[in-house]
Amino acid sequence: MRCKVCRQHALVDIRRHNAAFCKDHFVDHVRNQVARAIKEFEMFTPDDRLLIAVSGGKDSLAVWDVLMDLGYDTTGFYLDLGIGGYSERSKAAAIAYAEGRDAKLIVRSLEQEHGFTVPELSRLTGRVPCSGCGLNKRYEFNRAALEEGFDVLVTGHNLDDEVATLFGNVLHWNTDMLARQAPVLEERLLGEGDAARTALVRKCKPLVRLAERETAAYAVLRGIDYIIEECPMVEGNTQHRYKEAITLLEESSPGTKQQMYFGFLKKAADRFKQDAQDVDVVACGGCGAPTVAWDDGDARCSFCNTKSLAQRRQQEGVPARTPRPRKR
Amino acid sequence: MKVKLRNPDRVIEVSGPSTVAGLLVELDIVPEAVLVIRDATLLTRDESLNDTDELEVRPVLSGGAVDPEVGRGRPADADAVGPEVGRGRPADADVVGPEGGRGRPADADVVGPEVGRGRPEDADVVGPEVGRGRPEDADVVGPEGRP
Repeated sequence: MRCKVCRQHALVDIRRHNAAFCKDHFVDHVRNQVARAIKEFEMFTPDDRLLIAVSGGKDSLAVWDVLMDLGYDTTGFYLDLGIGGYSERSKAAAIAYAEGRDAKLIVRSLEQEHGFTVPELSRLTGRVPCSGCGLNKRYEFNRAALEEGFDVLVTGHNLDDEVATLFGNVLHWNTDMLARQAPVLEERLLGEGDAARTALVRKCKPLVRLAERETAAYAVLRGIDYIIEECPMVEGNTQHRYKEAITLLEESSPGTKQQMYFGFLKKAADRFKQDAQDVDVVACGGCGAPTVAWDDGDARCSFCNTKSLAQRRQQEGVPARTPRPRKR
Repeated sequence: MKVKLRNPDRVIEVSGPSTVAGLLVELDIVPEAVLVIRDATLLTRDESLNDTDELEVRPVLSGGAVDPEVGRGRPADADAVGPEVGRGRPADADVVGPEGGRGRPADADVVGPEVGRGRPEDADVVGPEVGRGRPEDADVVGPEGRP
């Protein structure tokens, strides 16, 4: 194959674009796609301070790499989830990358912040590991962005991530979640007038125009030493199964993923907005984070509920629940 | 040729395939799900291979914590995998898949045979024309500002 731009030997083919690129023009392609997503969805400007959620994997390091090269003001944030050697190696990858690029990186530990790791949380509460992990990351990413005064939280979610989420939400008709699936999640304020405060920082996903294979190719070609191994707790993860199914469709019909996601944004997303507006959001009684005002009057967020349960079980010596086994 | 596979890491010997596409067929690997690397360089599907090559087939699909936008505004159950903690909702079986574990066959009305049978709206979503015979879409394809 030859590069569609310069006709030199191509290293990466992108079938849904009916194109192939040499190294330099593929890197250009990735940067252009990111720049285009930022512009198209009005994500942020060079004046904004961006906090990049970094896992040590290809996507988060790739988005950080591209944004730095595009001239944005970025700082990385790594959350140590305490998943044994996997967390150690992913943290090492994030730190090595930051040092190599002379970039700022904030490192926090879930155990130091809250007294438990993701495996412990799962063992104590019976919560599915990926569920507990996602809950903690969302909470801590937002908390770090607010505490450190960042304008935007950037994540490395790519087209495959978005399509897998969309696929799952459609399979189960999670209409309120469909209403909130977008490349940009706007800042959310709590309170009114002078008492208003930012409760959820603006969140953006600049990689939505790039498939997972493209971000991996970018990382390889840019010499980014990301962690390749899969999280040991991901076995049987639903999101991963959706991705495998969607990848089979993409293989037989290139463009399926892009058409599904951008078709959804263009033709369907607005139809679900009403579901989201019906949710009454209040400040959590435990930590102040936004949460749902339930009919029973309880207004504690899931993070506080989960943390309380874990602490109670730790203190009372209640036998830990065994997470339900997942089948692949 | 020697082929390194990941997760878990292992090396296998393969002989015969003369192209990357052929190798992936022999290994029963979906090309869209991997990168093939030789000497720290990526290979396209049509690239020729030799028996002396040392290759890596690197998976690109990652999975794990669900997307953060799911449940935005509802940190209580922000995770699509389900807030079984303290909410009295059944476990997340309904997120993992309604057919599985619920004893209900897939709903014929939802996934029925009409899909792909000449209904334009369906064909538009999953139909074979996706990516086939369409000229390269200028606003989809490639770097802006390039021919």
